[in-house]
Amino acid sequence: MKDSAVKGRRRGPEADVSTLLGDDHEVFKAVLSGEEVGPVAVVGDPFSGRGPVLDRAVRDLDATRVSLDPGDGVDRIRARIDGGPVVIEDCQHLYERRIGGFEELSAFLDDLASIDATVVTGWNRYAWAYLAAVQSLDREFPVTVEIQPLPAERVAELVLDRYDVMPAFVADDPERGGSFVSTRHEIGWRDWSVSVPIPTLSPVAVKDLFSDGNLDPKDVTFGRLATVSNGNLGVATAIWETRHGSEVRPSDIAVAASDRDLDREEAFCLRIVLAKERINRAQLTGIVDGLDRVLGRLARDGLVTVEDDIVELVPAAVPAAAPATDRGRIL
Amino acid sequence: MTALQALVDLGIAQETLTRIVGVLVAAYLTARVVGYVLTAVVEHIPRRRISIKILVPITRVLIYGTAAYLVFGPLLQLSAAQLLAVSGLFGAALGFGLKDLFAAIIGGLVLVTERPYQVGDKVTIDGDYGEVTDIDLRATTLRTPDDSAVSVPNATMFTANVSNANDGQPEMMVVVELAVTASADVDRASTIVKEAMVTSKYVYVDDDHPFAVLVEDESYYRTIRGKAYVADLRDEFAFASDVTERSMAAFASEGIEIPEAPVRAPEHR
Repeated sequence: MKDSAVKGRRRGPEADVSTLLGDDHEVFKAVLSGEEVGPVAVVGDPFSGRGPVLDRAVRDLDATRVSLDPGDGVDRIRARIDGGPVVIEDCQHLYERRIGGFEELSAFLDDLASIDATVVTGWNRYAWAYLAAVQSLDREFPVTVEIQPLPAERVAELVLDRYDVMPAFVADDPERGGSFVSTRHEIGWRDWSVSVPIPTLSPVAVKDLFSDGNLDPKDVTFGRLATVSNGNLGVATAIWETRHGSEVRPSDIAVAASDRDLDREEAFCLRIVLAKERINRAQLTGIVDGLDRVLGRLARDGLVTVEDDIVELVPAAVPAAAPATDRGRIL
Repeated sequence: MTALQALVDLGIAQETLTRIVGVLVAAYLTARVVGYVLTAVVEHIPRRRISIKILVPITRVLIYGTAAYLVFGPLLQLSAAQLLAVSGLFGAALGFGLKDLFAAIIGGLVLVTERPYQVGDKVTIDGDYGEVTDIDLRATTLRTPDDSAVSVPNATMFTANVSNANDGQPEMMVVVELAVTASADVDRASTIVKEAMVTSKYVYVDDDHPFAVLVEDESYYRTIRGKAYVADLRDEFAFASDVTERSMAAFASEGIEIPEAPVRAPEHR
């Protein structure tokens, strides 16, 4: 996770690599010890902790580290390769979703075939899934390890360890209704239409309902945080920081989501940003129709930020962004 | 009131009339609400769109069938002889004038049970192509690409071929064809078409839905045929248009020529 993604906190210990990789840890260790031959792909959700896994590879392999930014190409990698092991972070920046946008990736894969040393690469999960489907990228990496969701206890431990002051954990008021979230839908009949709020059950709240009412509010809060963030430490930290005050209730843990449906262009743009995490505005021009308005709407919904022509995914919005694009079945 | 009095004179009590009207109104409202709710559910579960939409005509048949039973059951109360007479008259009417209607209704029942196509499928029936938007007892309604509603009698299914493009699945293969001159760089043109397809916002690719680019030689030009699936069959034409537009723009920027239509030389008199 990049520090820029979560601001205003003291940096604490990262999750250990064995917890992050789960069952994949053994094969990762085998690659680092030389028992398995790479190249290796480390695949994870945005802000899920690819960084610490790659840090471990840099340390154990005494490798050269290359961090790719939006717009970087294979030349940036070639300039750093010195015949030894190399760790390349954020390889999703090697492609663009346009005609001719796979040239840098193709050149990188050609180079990969001729490198004898161990190469460890980090990939955004959504970019990896897309490239595996359309470019058979998974066939180029004999070893693939995936970042696993963290359990609630570990999320609690790591989030709280980042702060000097502990908030007070308070149980939710039983009279306070939080089981439903309201989304707006247009209902039309012939020439007449109206926007109607439709209540839908909140899965997180339903889980709380069936849980033991005597649970410690702290456990319930972090259980909810782990559920909402899908065990993603970066997202959990970002959601944690959206709350205010010295007290925290389980119902304070919520994903800020828009109550409107995204249209095709918005969902497509969001999917690209979800896969890239950070992207130049210029790279989206020509791919997304009506880019300025689309970005404006996504920014107003709190899904992305646009600063200095860089479009960034908001960490706390990842749990809302992923299902919004999955609904449209955008690859 | 005159019509009401006439019905009362026929021996139909006012309470019965009220009950009949109530049943019919309730059936209508119920059918509308159920249809609306199922359509709304479908928009949020794209994967189950087809299988949920097929419930709409089925529930309508059940609702109106129940209403008909509730209305005519107590109303007619025919004796055995009366029932026989009505059956005979009904059979004669079918034979003389309603056989097409009856065939269409039977076709509707066969459609619901055998399901050669379902609501939401893209089909070609007797030369008409479109998305099936409704299946009633008598006819199937197709929405053509030009947004025309074509009503195809269900009996047509017994006499004409039915071609189903997606067979109940939300995904559908779309074929895009582009022509280049015989001297053009076919490899580069194929790559452009391939990349145009896989970078489209509408494309859907997985192990069960692969894409392909084929080249055909037509002597004076080459046809590049791209085949890929869209996630939602309603995006068929948007995908084809997107791929065609971007491919042709890439052809133009890279100097890949597309064939021109032959120009007929003017006759000299």
